Amino acid sequence: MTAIALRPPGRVVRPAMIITGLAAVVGLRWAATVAGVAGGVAVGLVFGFGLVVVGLATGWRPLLGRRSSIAVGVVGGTVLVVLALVTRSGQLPWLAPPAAFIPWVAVTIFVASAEELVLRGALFDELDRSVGTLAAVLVTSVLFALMHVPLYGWHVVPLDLGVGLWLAGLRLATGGIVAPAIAHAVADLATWWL
Amino acid sequence: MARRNLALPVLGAGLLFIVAARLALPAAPPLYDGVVPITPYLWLDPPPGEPGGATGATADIPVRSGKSPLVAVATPELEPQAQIFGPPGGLTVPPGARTIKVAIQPVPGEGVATDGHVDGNVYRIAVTDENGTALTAPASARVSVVLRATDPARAEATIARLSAGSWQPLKTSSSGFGGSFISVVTEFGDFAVIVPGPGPSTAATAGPTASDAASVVASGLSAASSGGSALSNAPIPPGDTSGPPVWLAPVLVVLVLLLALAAYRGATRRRRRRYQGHPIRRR
Repeated sequence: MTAIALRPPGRVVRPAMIITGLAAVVGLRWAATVAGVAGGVAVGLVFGFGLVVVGLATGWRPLLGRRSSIAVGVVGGTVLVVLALVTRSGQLPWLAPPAAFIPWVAVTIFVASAEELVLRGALFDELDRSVGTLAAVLVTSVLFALMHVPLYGWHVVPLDLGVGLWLAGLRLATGGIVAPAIAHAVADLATWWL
Repeated sequence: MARRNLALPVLGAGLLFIVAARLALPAAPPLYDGVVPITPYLWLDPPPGEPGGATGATADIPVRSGKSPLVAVATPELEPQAQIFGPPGGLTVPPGARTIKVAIQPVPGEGVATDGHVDGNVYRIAVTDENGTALTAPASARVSVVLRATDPARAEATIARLSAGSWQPLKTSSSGFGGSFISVVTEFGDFAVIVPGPGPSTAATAGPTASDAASVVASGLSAASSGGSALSNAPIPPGDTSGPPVWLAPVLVVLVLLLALAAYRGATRRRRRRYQGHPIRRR
């Protein structure tokens, strides 16, 4: 309690650093994709590593949350998949990606977890401490929506904003990133079959 | 405790947003993310160095209770080069019709595009009943045709329908994936993607090479930089490009990194100046 330490940088400097790093990684992914420097799986792998670096560079370490997180995450992901199925009439018919299944699964899980590590993990905690829980929910959800714009276009902002809120809700309910990471991964993996 | 109390309303808000967005959007990515490579664009009449072998797709869809069921037919490429999508009840079905026959076929190009040129194949989309009667769709049904441009990173293009020998532009928006575009249609026929600028006969190439396309992941990318995906019937400005130049992205990334570094260094200096000799308690 009485340990002496330097006060951490300003309230918003650290969150701003994370957001900047996130923007840089998303920008690099965009540039790599446009330039066609590698296949989707390779770009996704590098993107995931970039996110992990951004998340952990601030000194943040993952909070795993409650024991029930795994179950909550599976249920949360299933809800997202069911919603996609139920509202399918408004969706284009998509086919399974042609990438080899195992690498695709691995990278998809990795990228989903890395996104959660940064957004619902490091950034969420920093914002929670500095500007409050509600602001953390809103900012991370908006960023989640925006970071998908380069890949899918602006019209997905409402959808991904909703998903961001849903994942933030799982984060709040369980106190860690395991549940949102599992839910996110389950939803992404379902694209192979949907 | 307060956080857990907040969880329920946040989950509820998320749920509402998701449902509303899914019902409102005519097209959405499969779920929320993913790593999806795109196969090369296949041509019916390939330019030098480009792959041929474009194929079509057909489907016979039973009518249910006098109404059209979900109609979703796509050519076999990944992502599909031509698709038709109609929600249940979206097509006007003649009384007594039992089957909806959908055919999508690449056909040789014809017609003149006044603003730009045809990019890729022309697709003939026929939707009829079993007697060959052409079906239509009210605009409110949002029956859609989705066509893929040859360049997966293309941000702007217009889907056009061939009418009386000329290409009539339709209101077009990005489908959100890999240079594909979507238009709501009320009748069927020949459709093509029209892009600005001179055609391949005067230009060196009509977009990136097939190998480029193959290596590029889903890239609606462009909508981000073009400030939105909605296009209109407005004439296509000649010489327009597919969004900002590619080199802009790394430049922006470097600028952002430099700004971040400057902000961090500034914050560190202020912190040292402020608290030098004034240790504080750890919270």
